[in-house]
Amino acid sequence: MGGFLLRKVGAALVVLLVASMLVFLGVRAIPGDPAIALGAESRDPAVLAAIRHKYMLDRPLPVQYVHWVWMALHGDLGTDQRDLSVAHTIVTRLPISLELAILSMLLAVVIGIPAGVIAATRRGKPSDYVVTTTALVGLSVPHFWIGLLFIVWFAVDLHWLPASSYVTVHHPIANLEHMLMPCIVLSVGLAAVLMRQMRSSMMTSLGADYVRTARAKGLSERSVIWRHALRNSLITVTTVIGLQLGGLISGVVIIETIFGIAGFGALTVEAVNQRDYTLIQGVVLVAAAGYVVVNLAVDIVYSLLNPRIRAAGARS
Amino acid sequence: MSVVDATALTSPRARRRVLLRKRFLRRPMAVVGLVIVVVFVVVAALAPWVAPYSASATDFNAILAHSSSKHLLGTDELGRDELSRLIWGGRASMQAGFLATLLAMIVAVPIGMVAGYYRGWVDTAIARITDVLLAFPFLILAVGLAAILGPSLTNATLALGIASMPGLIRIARGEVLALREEDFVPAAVANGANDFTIIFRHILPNMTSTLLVQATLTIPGAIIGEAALSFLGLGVQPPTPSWGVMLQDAQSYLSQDSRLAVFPGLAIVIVSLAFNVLGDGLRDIFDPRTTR
Amino acid sequence: MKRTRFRTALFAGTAIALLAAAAATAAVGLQGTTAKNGGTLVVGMANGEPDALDPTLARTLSGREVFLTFCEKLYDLNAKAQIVPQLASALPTISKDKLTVTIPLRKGIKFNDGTPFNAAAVVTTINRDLTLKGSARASEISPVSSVNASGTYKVVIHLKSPYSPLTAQLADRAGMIMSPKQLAKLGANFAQDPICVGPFMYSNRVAGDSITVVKSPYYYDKKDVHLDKIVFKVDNDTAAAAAALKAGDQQALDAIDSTQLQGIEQDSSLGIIKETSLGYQGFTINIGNKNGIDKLPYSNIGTDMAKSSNLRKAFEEAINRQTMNKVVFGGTVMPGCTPISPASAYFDKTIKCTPYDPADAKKLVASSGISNPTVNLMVPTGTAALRLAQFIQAEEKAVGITLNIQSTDFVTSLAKEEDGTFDTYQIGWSGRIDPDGNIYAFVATTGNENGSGYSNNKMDYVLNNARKSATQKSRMTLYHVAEQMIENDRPLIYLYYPVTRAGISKQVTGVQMYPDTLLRVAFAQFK
Repeated sequence: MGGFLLRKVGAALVVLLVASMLVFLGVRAIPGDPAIALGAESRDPAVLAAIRHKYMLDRPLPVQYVHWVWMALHGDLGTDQRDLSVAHTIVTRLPISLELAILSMLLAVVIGIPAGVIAATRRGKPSDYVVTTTALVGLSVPHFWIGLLFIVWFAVDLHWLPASSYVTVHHPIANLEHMLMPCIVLSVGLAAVLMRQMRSSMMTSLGADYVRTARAKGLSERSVIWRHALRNSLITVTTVIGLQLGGLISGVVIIETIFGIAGFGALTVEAVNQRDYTLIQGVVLVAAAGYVVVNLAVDIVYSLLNPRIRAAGARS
Repeated sequence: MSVVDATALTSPRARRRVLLRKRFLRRPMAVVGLVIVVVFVVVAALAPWVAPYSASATDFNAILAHSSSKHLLGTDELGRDELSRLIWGGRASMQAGFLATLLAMIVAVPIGMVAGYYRGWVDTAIARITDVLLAFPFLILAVGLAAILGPSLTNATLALGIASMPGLIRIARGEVLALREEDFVPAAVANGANDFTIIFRHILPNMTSTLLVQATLTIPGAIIGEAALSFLGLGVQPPTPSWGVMLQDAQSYLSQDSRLAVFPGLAIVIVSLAFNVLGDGLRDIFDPRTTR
Repeated sequence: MKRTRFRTALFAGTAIALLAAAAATAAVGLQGTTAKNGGTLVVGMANGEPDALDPTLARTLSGREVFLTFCEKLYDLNAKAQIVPQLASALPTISKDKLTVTIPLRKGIKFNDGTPFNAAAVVTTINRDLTLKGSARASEISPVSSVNASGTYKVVIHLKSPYSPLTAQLADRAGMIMSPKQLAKLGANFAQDPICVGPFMYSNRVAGDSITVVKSPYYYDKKDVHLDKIVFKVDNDTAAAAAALKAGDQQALDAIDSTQLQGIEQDSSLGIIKETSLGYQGFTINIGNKNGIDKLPYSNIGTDMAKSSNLRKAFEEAINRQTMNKVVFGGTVMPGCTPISPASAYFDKTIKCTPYDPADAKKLVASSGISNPTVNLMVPTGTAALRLAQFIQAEEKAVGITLNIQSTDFVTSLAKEEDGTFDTYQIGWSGRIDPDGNIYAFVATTGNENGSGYSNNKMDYVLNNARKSATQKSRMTLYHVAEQMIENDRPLIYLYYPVTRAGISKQVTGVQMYPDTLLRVAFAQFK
């Protein structure tokens, strides 16, 4: 187990290092002079020179990169166009997006997994058709479009729910009210994927030897489904959740933009739109790091659930 | 029912083809999906002849007009015919969907096959590269590319293609891992075939059904992806119409005329639903466990 | 006597606002008996997040709006875009050679840390503006050679050359006086906890989200300050901002997007105040900017637009500004054709705009000798900008000019303008109180915003004289000549002046807007 862990962590670190280089070079490849972006309406050469010096834009690339990584390791991602600490901005924005992502994921799991189980156990019956059709539609609908329609219906026309912005968790009810629409919208696609995945892996499990054995032992159908087949199917679903994370982050970006939530996703779009170089660098690095860490966690959970993987050491 | 030509039945390939066609026709949903896909593709391809107006023809005396005999679906905020823009917009969406998928296939499938065939350090190295790619969520990658290369349909397609690669690499690798254990591989080796021949002449043809299904399911993802990018202003740029651009324009007019947000969204839903239904159907009929 | 001119200015502002339709209730409420003290006002900022809240370094429009609540200036603007004293006690006296400017200060005023406001503080601030590394003010007051205190309440500024825009600069961020005690403590990091004179004092800031100011116990007109707290909230999405206003999450929104206007107008709980901007929007046509701004001499770049002045005329004649206003902006902007907006005291009514004349435009295109004339229009990405570009494209097509829209992100477009690698650029300017700030940098040969690469000796002569002459009348004569030259040569074509509309809850009174289009909320109160 120790060796396996070490290998996985080592690989994750390599991935992060390469990702950090790509981010750094990518940002440097963006056309346009960052100093002009930082100067806003000021084109005074003295102001621009001071800006270049302050943001180390007048130093060679490797020096800039090493300095950036070194500072990043100390929790300092530099200051953005508005002279605010990038790390601090990210730390204040991230929890909002995490709340959105976690609530959406929970909603998707609560809807998707039972629906998938029902469809699998009642294959060919009307409830199966309802679930599979819903899942297909859910997969095919762009969530930002549902977001737009929800705003029109529930906020503009009916005034049921607030259309935008975020309320801190210090006001739990208002917070949930504001989160409700974005979470529903974001969970649609996820729930659809989980439903489909759950249905197909449940069907495989239900046909597997150990389930037949369990049935032969005279266990109730209920117990067979919920204790044996489901547990095994959940292993696959864990991986699927891990793989959906990238989609979730992408979804958060769009949903936050539409609903005017000042989270991490909206920050990404703002950073790119304003060509805020330090901010883009910091945001993308943190997103990549988060993704790598979560995937590592999924790998570890997966191997704990399924010891055979550990022995093989490979990940498919 | 068609009468099957007796001589055709002698070849196993022809027999399989007939079987697949039969299975396909027994799945009305898949057939409907295919028909819709074909209609959308044909209409988009023939846009100059099918669309009642040019996508950029403005009529400043009829802005945000409701549907009439002159404009079936009404007009947008610059008095352009909504139906014509939907038809022209379909071109961008189809182009992004098909080309991004094609690009991803051409690059990812050989890489995945090589990884699965050779295993060992090649496999590990490719797995790490895939991990790095996966570390950038699709939209972050696309946003970054748009920032570096400038927003356009081509760059959006490129970003969508790259974003679809990691998944395809893993699928191709998994397929090869299984197929290389089949009997025909040692047989080919015994006949003196080199690795290249084995991978592309023997293993690849056995993967086509999986790849076809995968492509059918990747296309709608890319179509939605293009819409999302254009919606954020990072994809297709006006005056070129695309469904995402139309939704972006419509967002500003939500409180005045939500109609503009409905049509392009519906178009996306219909076409991606059609692809998904078709893909599911194809997966079903290629599945050896399927009996019907 | 304490609050003479400033309060007068405030009431003049309300009079204008009264004319501006929906503000009527706001103005009445100011004196109303139902009004009460206390409360937190949440103001949505549609122009994006401010940068550093340091008057020496600040560069953004939205920052100025926040500064108004906690950083008063030597001079301020009134509703007619005239300059009036704020922390100064009178307009400056200027010596005969126009090289010495004397500013008297108000007495008995305290900074928001309790330290006294005096001439020494003003000297400290202006010296910092001139010398701090990265100062965005240095170029604004560059003709200043030295500044010193003459007694406790008089400041004497010496100039290298006559500079009439100085007072206007002191009515903006260069005139915001910072607490010397806080400057000594924080130095270049003043923005971490900025302290000036103001009805409110800085409390805290959440990056990307909000800035909070609280009522000051030191302010000289404390009894006119009613709110306990003001929260400035960053609104990045126009639709979301409008929704927050309608939902009551925000009680004021400083700029309503034209597409959201109708919805807010229909909401009976909201009122609207509006003001025409001092800035303009239009086109910068690259005529001689071949190697980049500042890379003199400029020489014709040889594009269709640069080559043919007739084509430039046809281009302008093809555009119906009234239709543009109706179609693209829902009738919410003020069409016009000069760099100086009707909001300015220097607006010139006598300039005749090039009329909409597609027939003549066609003739000009034909006589230009250019077959299939093509204009590549660089447009900064953004829904409204692209909508305008598509409108222009249709207008030009009608007279036989092909317009290619090149959608480019804002920063890259600025870089291309700087390098001279563009044909025509759809861009505007936020506007300055002094007309010099709307003209000089753009069309003077050495102007650092001269993206057109326009070089005309006569223009340079006229603009330099306008900088030196002291009376409004003589300056207006000179600017009239300059505006005529721009209209003939068309290095820029002006289309319209934005009209800023702020949405305000009817629960709130006393919110103002002047021609600088900044929302003034410091003296507001709840009903």
